[in-house]
Amino acid sequence: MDDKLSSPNQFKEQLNKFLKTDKQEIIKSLLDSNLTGRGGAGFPTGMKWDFCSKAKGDKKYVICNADEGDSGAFSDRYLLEDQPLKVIFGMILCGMVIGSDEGVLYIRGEYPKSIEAINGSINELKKLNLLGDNILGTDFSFDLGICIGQGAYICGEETALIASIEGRRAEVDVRPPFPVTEGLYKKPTVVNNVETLAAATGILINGPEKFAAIGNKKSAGTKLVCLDSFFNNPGVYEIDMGTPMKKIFNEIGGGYKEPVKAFQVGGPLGGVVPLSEIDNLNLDFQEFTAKGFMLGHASIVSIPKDFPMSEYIHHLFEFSAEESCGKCFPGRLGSYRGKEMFDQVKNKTAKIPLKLLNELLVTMQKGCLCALCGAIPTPIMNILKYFGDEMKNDMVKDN
Amino acid sequence: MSSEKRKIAYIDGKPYEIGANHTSILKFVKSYVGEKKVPTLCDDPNLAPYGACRVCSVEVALEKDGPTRMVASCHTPVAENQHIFTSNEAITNLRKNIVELVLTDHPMECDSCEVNNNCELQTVANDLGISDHRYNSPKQHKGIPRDTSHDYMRMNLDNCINCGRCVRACDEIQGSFVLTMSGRGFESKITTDNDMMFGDSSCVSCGACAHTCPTDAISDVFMSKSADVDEKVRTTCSYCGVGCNLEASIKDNKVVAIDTPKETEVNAGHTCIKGRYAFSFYDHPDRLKTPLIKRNGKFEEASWDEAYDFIKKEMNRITKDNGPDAFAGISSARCTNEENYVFQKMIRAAVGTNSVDCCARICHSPTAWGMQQTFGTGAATNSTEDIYHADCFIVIGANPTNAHPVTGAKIKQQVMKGKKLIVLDPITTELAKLADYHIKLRPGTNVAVLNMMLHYIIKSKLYNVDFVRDRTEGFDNFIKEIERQDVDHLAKVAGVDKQLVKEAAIAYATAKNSMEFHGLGVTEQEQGSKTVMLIADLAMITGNIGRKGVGVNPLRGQNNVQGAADMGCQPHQGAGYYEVADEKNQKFYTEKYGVTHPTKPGLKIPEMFEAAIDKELKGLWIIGEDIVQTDPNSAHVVEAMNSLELLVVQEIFMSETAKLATVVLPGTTFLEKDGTFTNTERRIQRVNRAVPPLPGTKPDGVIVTDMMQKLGFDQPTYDAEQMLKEIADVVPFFKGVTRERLGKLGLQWPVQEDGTDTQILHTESFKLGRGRLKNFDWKESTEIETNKEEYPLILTTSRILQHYNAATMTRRTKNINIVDEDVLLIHPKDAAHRDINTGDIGRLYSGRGEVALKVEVTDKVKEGIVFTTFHFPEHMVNMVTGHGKDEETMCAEYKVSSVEVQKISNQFKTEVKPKENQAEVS
Ligand SMILES: Cc1cc2nc3c(=O)[nH]c(=O)nc-3n(C[C@H](O)[C@H](O)[C@H](O)COP(=O)(O)O)c2cc1C
Ligand code: SF4
Ligand code: SF4
Ligand code: SF4
Ligand code: FES
Repeated sequence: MDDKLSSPNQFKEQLNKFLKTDKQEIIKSLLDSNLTGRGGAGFPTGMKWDFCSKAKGDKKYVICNADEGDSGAFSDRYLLEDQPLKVIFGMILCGMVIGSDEGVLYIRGEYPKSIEAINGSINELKKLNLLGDNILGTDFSFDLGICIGQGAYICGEETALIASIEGRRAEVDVRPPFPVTEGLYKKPTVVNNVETLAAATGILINGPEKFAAIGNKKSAGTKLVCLDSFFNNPGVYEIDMGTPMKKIFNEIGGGYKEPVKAFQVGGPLGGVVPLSEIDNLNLDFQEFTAKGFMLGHASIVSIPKDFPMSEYIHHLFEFSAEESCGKCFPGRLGSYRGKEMFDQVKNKTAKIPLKLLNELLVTMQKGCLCALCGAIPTPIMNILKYFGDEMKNDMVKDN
Repeated sequence: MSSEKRKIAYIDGKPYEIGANHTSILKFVKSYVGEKKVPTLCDDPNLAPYGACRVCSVEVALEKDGPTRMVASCHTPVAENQHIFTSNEAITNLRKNIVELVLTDHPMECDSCEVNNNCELQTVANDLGISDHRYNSPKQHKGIPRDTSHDYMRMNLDNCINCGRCVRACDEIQGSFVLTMSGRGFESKITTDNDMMFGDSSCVSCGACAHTCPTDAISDVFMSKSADVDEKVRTTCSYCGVGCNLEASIKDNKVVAIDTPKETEVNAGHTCIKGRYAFSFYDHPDRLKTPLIKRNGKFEEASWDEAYDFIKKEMNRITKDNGPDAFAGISSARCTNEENYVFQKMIRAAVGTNSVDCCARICHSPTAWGMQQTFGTGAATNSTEDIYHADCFIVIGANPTNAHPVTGAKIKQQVMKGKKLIVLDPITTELAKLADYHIKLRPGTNVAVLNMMLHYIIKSKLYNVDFVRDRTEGFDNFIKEIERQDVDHLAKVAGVDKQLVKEAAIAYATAKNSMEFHGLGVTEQEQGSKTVMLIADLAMITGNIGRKGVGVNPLRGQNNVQGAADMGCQPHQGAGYYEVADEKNQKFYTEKYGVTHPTKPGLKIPEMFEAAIDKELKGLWIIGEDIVQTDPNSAHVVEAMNSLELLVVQEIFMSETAKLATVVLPGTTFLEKDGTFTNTERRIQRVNRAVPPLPGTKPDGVIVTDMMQKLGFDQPTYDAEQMLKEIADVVPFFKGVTRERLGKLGLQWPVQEDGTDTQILHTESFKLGRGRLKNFDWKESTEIETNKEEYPLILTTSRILQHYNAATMTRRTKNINIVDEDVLLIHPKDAAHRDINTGDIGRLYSGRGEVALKVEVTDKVKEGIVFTTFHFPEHMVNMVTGHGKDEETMCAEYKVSSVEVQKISNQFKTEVKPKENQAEVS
């Protein structure tokens, strides 16, 4: 991402320009760029802002979702700490477009440096009247606050996040109503991921064409990709959509330090991609989905060659049992029963009842209220498909 | 409306029209193909959709043969042309697998469970054909100690399925926020407050959680969800004027539990502690079971015939010697319409006097009178349901969350959703805490504050020009008088902030729909009727009359106080509100009753007392009213009763008044009789006999009719249905009422001949044609003028949630374990002057008498004001209250008494009540 917004002066100059820009034009730029949400669900950002700008409400909110909880993901953290002005700029413009005067950054408690960086920027911008009442003498006012995350993975889900800001138990809510019409304190609210907001800033400053020209219509622009320490060159990289995965892994990542057999891409709910499939994939949301995986937030976690896959499944069930809200029945009970199944495998007290496990996975996938326990079956099904042989001796087929 | 295109969606291939109330696929499907087509566990039609259980899942496709998607039907909207599939293999498997998961964490001891055969989980599992699960030794939440610490509620979390309905019922319906789901994932569980025992929590015992809980995880001591009963009888609550519909469970001719039907107009499956749980008074050993005649100062048991003959002889003697006006009757707002009607008929037609009154005299007579003067009809203009359509509420002198709990909860819910609320009250009530504008005025200054509000509305030109021009009269003079008001002076006497009153006035005037409620804090004052008329002005000049979500709405105290007045238990108006002094009306009544109707208006209750003391009134018949405990200045009342030659009291318990009677006749409770009650929104609802009268007792209507026959009056034997027919023939606004037509939900009067009822009054015009705008200046209460030097504090009284008025009934239930005394509230500054601390015993006294009460120091009351309830005969708070009366209607001035408080001792020690704690482990 280019660095046109690293100083408050640049910030002021750009803001001055956009304060005079027509809101519809801003929405149009976002739509033309084909930017989709980087937080996992992939909703077109321009549409989200447009809906919220049209929603009725005497008060509206902008929320930046900085609860980055995916294992192996640190791209949001990178942006918060190294490019805070870009994120904040995106929030201010969103506020201007939708008619909001208040934004909240929901930042994961494990990111104290991010909180510090954002806090510093907010204070500085306030002093310069680039945030607060009547920004730069206009009648647009916008204030920002920070809310520190409650600590469970589910807090990153937008309705649970809203509940958490309101001081309620972080529990997933039914939709509709969607946050754009009834969000924080039941007021119209845009919830955007950190990276989405930073990308929006880039698009608006540089024009949508450049972004849209990369990749394809549904997977446009660039995406931050995090490579873990199994790569020779670990780190976060901004990569054009459509880039072949093998190029990312072998050239950018510089290959692997140790033998690996698979990768979990896109966080705990993302797919488990066997090494052999990497050659057939490009950095593209739809391609991943079509193959039964999920690109999501694009973090890459390597699974070493000698790591037992039944333990990996155990770890996934345990994750959803511990990090879910427990509201919906298949989520609360299913995650726990799945974990128990693999506890018993680990302790050698029982074998995997394959039929029941498959039914359980379908039940969770189809029945759950949200994508936490509803998507955890994705990596598990991938593992059963690609690494089933590895667990052959631990399974009973007709139970 | 109908010009809109009809929208269609398909259920299992068949087209159906999408209606306005089809807010989810579930509602849509249920309305066309029945309740059972789609199973549910976390859904309750009275709660917002929640989406937890997922057994309501269905498949949908956006077009015919399009790709399908599984969705939870309870929270997914129906879309036009959508194809909905309610069952196929995938759906059934999903539902089965989910319920199987639920069973992995359920004890499965149905045979010994309270809700066996009335359990939603059991039903859903049976319908899906599963009784067991396939998981290997799953961990369960088993052996959680049962919480039996509460006097009414019971918790058995082993059987909890985490559907969250109890939490939502407490939040969304009751608004008390006692229950929470705490913990995460598999460890989530229901807790009360911060992990307190149920009995120590802030629970208000409304029972909403037990009512909605699909299993027996939350229930009550009566096991009200048990299917092991002989019969369930639908009836109407006999406590307050909200008029909740109840359902009594009967076993072996006893009422074993009370719940509420889900489908009701008034209460939507909700009640308060009194309606649902405070019923065990009905067969309490204290019930009177035989007539009693006092001879030589002692009650002797008598047969019914003996008692009737005794009364007949005495009545005849009194009226023969002194004329019919030496006799009077006080009817009961707790009794049915039929009973009130026949009682006033006895007094008027069989005795021959108009001296019949009821407790409306001491509560809402100023409302009835004031609204008659301004609108023409003395009843609530709108319906309770309108609460959902209002944008701003003004609540004056009422504490609905305590005194009208179900209506109070509804208002509270709306306010929590962001509707505006203005409260005029000297006490920081529960609603006042939530109010946008709490005008904490001192008692006796309602007229001052309303004049201020009117002034600000007029000055800011916020009145509704069209409404004032088309629907009212007297505006020119009105505006002059209002402009003349000295707001600074008024603000000073009321002790309120001018700016706050102004903002509240503007909020009321500018909201789209503003709805008014008032209680006895308005009426029980010297300027009570005037306050009512100013409230009517406020509604009229802002155009808040005659449509949904607005109006002037008295919160009627007793269950049938509206009905008692409608039926003619008033000395100046007969059944249907015809003035008795009018010759035309005399003719009408004479024709209907078959005897010459008296024309001289009779005595009002306070006048009866005076007349008794003056030996002009010699005989009095009272039904179910403990006037000694509840009327102000008890000593005076006792003197009056003792001056009578004959006092007949129809009662269910030996009340303070009954003790003074010559003859006591044992009546029955509402559970043992048929009839109708009319609630605060003019809804006439059926009371259906749940159990036969206790041996030895008779329904009150039967007693009165028996007596009429004894007196030689031609009155057919009492039958509630026949009596209602007679009423429909006499009372014009009951014209189309029959017992059958009332059905389950009742009808709101006026009811046309064809049975059409009326939700909103004054939609086109007022009964008086145009609404009359009237002005009144504020005047200091005589009570304060006279006594303020000697008795500088002002006492105002009210009631609490757990008890009802004289508490004759609620004291004889477990409610007494929850609250067992009247407590005096005093402001910290006033307490400091008198060296009083919380827990001390104080002497509350006035020129009339004194009582000793436990004191609580709190800023809930305004400085200079003290507050208490009047529920307990041990305290007899009305020994202290005053003689003041509303100028127009003689309604007693309970809300303003000049008093003083003195510390007696700090002897009070916090008594630790032994509670059965979590002993029992299943
Ligand atoms: C279980 C769960 C966890 C999530 N965690 C995050 C998160 O940490 N950060 C994030 O931006 N979005 C997260 N999301 C997605 C959000 O719900 C939401 O879609 C997103 O913040 C919208 O922003 P976007 O449109 O900019 O992507 C999560 C979703 C689920 C179901
Ligand atoms: S799937 Fe259900 S239990 Fe799991 S996190 Fe989502 S709502 Fe909560
Ligand atoms: S106690 Fe009853 S209503 Fe509450 S969550 Fe448990 S099962 Fe549901
Ligand atoms: S609110 Fe009134 S009518 Fe309803 S249950 Fe309570 S006392 Fe009875
Ligand atoms: S009834 Fe729809 S999710 Fe429970």
